[in-house]
Amino acid sequence: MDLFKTRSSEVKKTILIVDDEEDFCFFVKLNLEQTGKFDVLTATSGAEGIKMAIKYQPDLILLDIIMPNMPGTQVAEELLNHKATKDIPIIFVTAIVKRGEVGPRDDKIGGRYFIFKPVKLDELVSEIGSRLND
Amino acid sequence: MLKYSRIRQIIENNGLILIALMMVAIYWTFDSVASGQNLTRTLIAALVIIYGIFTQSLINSRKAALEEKERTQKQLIQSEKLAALGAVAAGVAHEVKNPLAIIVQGIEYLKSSLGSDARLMDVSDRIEKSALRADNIVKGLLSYSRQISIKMEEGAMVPIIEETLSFVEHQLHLKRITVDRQFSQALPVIMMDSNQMKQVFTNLFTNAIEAMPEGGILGIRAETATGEKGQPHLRVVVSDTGEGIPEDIIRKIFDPFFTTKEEQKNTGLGLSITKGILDNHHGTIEIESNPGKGTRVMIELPAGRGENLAGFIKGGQADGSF
Repeated sequence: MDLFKTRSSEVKKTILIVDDEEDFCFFVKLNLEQTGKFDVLTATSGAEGIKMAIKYQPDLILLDIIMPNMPGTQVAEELLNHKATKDIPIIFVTAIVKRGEVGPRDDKIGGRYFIFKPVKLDELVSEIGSRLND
Repeated sequence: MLKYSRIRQIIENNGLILIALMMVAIYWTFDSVASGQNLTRTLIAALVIIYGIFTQSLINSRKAALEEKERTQKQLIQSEKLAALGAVAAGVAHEVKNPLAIIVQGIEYLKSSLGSDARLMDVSDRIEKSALRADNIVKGLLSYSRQISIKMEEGAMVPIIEETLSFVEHQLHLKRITVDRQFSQALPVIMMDSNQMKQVFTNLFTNAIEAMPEGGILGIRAETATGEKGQPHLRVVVSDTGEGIPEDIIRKIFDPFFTTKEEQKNTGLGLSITKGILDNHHGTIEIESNPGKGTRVMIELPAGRGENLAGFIKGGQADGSF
C-alpha cells in the first residue's frame, strides 16, 4: 500500500491507481503529482483497491483490467455496488482490451472509459480532466 | 504432341477402361479364329467394357474425394496455426505493453526533471520514440490477431490515401519515384477504421517503393466497381513499375512471417496484416505481377452507409470504446 498525500489536498483531486504493475503505479503517481493538480494513492491488487476506495473516497479511479486474483471488471462491479464508491468515476487503463475482458455484464460496470497502455502524460491528464468534469 | 505427364494422367484416369478394351481385342481375335458366335462375342465384349468403365469411375471418384479431404485438412491445419499465432500475439502484446507503459511514464518524469539540458532531453526523446515504435510493432501483431480495438466510421478513401502518401513522401523523393493519381469523381464512402486503412496503404506503398530502388512510377487509381451481387464497391489499384514478383513467391505472399526482405528490417507480417484488415472490412485483395515490369495490387471494399454494413460494424463498435 502506498499512501502519500500532499498538504494542499483540499484543492487537489485525489486519484486512486489500481494496477498490479508496481512500477507503473510509481511513475504515474510521480507524474500526476508533479502536475500539481492531483494527490495520488496506489494499490497493486483489486482487493486492496476496493479497500482504499472505500476508505479514502478518491475523486477518480484508474483501474487496470487484467490483474491476478481479481480482474478490474470485478473490482469495478464491486465498487458500483457499494454505496460509498458507486459514484466514483472509473477509467480503465489496460494493455489490451478485448470484448471478453469487460465481461458480458459490462453495462453494469460504471464509467467504461478506456485508456490504452502505453499512455502519455498529457493524454492521461486530459482524460482524467474530462471524466472529473462529467 | 501430347506430353509424357499428360499421357501418364490419361492412363491413370482411364487405365481400367484401356485394359478392358485390350482384353476385348484379345478375346475377339482368338475367338474369331475358333468360332462364328458373333452375338455372344459382342455381349461378352460389352460386359467387359462396362465393367472397366464402372470400376474406373469408382476409383476416380474415390481419388477425388481423398484429394478434397486432404485439401480440407490442410486448410484446417493452416487456420489452427493462425488462431494459435493470434493467441500468442495477444498474450505477448499484453506482456510487452506493460513494461512499455512503465518506460513511457518513466521517461515523462525524467523529461520533466531535466530542465534545460538539451543533450539529455534529446536522449530522453530518442528512448521515448523507441518505446512508442515498439508499441507500434506490438499493435501490428495485435492487428494480425484481430483482437485490437477497431473503430468503424464512415469516410472517404482519398484523404486516407493522401495522408498515407505524406508518410512515405521522403522515401518517394529519395528514390525518384513519381506518383500517378487517377481518382474518379464521386467515389462512394466506406465504413472503415481509418487507422487500419492507413496501415493497409502504408504496407502497399512501402512494398511498391521497395520494388523500385532505381525509381519509377507509383500508380494509385480509385474508382467505383460492382460487387458479385451487384452492390457498389470502391476499388483501389496500387501499381508499381518495379522488378515484379515471381509466381512461386506470389503464392506465399499473404502467409504470415513470409518475407523476401532483410530479416531484421521486416517482420514478414505486412501483407498478412493487410489481408486481415481487409477481411475485417469485408474487402478483398488481389495481386498480379509481371516479373521485370511491375506489380498491381487491387483492393475492393463494399461501399455504402450503415444499412449495408450493420452486420459487421456491430462486431467492432458496440459503444465507441472498442
